Amino acid sequence: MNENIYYWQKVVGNKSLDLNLRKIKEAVSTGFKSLSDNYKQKLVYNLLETIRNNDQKNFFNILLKTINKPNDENYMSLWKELNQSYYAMPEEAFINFGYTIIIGIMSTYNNNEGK
Amino acid sequence: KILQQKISDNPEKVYYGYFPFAYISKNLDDNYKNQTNAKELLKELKEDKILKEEFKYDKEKIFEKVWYDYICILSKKAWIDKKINKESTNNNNLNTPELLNAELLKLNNDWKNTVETRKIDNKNKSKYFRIPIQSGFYNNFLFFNNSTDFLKQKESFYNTISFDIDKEENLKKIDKTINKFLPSEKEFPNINYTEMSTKLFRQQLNYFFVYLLCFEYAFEYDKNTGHVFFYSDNVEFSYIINKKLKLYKNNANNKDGNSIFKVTWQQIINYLVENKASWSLENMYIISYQKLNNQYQEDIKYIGIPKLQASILLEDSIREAINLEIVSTKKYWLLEEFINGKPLYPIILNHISLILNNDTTYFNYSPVLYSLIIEANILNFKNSKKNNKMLFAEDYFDNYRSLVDDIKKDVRYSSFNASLIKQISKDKDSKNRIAMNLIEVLKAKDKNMFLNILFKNLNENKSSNPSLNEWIFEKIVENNISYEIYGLLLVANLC
Repeated sequence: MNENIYYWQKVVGNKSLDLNLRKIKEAVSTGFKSLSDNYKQKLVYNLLETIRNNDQKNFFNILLKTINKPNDENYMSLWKELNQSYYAMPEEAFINFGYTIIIGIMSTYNNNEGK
Repeated sequence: KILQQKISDNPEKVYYGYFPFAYISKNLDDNYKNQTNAKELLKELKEDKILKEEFKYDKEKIFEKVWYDYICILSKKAWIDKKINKESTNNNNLNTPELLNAELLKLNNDWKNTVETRKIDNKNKSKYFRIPIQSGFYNNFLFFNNSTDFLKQKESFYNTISFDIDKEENLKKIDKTINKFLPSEKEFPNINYTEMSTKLFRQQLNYFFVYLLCFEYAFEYDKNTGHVFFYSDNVEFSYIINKKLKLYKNNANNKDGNSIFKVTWQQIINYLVENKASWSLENMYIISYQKLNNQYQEDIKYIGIPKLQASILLEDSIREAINLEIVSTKKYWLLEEFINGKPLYPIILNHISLILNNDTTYFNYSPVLYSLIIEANILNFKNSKKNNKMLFAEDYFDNYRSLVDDIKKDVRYSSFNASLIKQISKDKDSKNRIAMNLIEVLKAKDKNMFLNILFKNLNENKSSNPSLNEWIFEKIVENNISYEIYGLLLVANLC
């Protein structure tokens, strides 16, 4: 479904930017696959709390802190995606964005039994 | 078919013999209607040798004979009763049996000496012998009018049947007087361009007014819906459906409490499917009214099936799934709601909410699944139409074929994937609790909270199913148009 992309374009105005949720989801899946399930579970709870309150500042704070591992190549694509779409978003766009990250993280459960 | 045969054999006998007799017997004053010996008279009329052999095709003679020998005999009792009634209310002098008998005798003699001997001529007498007919529709129409006398009644009835517009001014136009569904002459929208003249019909329909006068008998009465008539542009088809409707009504006597609409649409669709006549589904109407007479017109409805709904309903699996009743704020027959273009989502939402709060309500998954998927796909379809500004897009001549295919595919895809939500917990009570929480936020249309609660609960197990994840992502997270509908489908799977 492409509706969100257009939605995002409208919000940014004259800057044509795509919020490609599917790509972000895939990048998150790649990035988080090496973390332990317990860690991810806690992370998901924390992120859910910030999305619920539309607290974008904290959301990105937690997210960026977690993925701030310059040597880990897994995060490269996620960094690239975030680089494109990390803007203050209107709530509706942020909800879609935030839960996409959550699904991305959750889809890596069971893949690695913790480090 | 018997009637058709008779019409083609001898139209005069049907239109000038049977019709006036039947019509008058149907329209005798309500109070006196049931006392007639119409059946025996009809038998005689059928066997009448003079009509059969002598008059054969002579319409005037047929009418004259039927009028005096059958209609008059038929209405004699009604006429006498009415006179007696009038007399006793007017001057109260019939309070003893003797007086009453004397009056009866007098009336009987009057009738015998004038009507039966066909000696009515003078104006006064003629008025005295007016045949007491009455109709809710045609109070002021020609022979129904209270001021018309016996002879005038006879004459104008004859003129009406023969469509003689030279003798009868009133037959020159059609408007509200003849059919209550029409506007009055003054209100007619095209009056500036042309008069609604009956001349045009005269060439094709010799007995135009016979049909018009009978319009009310086409309707079937149902206590919930009122008077109902089914119309399509195929006369044979309309006839079959209306006949089936009548048969159904007589047999079942509405025991199961089904609305007549349910039955009607069921009959129509069954017939269409049998005959593969998809074309006509779009061109049909059900006409219904609660009350219709000279003064009032109440609740007149013309209900048709929109093309979109028609295309979807022709698909067996879809139609069967929603062709039943579910309990929501009240009992809803899903198919009817769908045909009327009403959203099914609120009905299903209430239905599921009811089930979660009350174990006794019967839960049937299939109609819920289909209703939601149909609705979601129509929404998506309309939305993509809106974004696509091209008037003649690729699917212009596709007749919603692609939409129907999408629905079928989505039913398969979503019914499996949404059912995976059952893994959220093994405990029935906690499933119920989650479902309750989710439905509350759905009612508030809060996508954020919905996903929050959902993921919080899914996150508890530290496990996730890739198919379910993908489905939630595609149908809810990424979807801003119909996410509630798919959300509700998840909740339904927790019931």
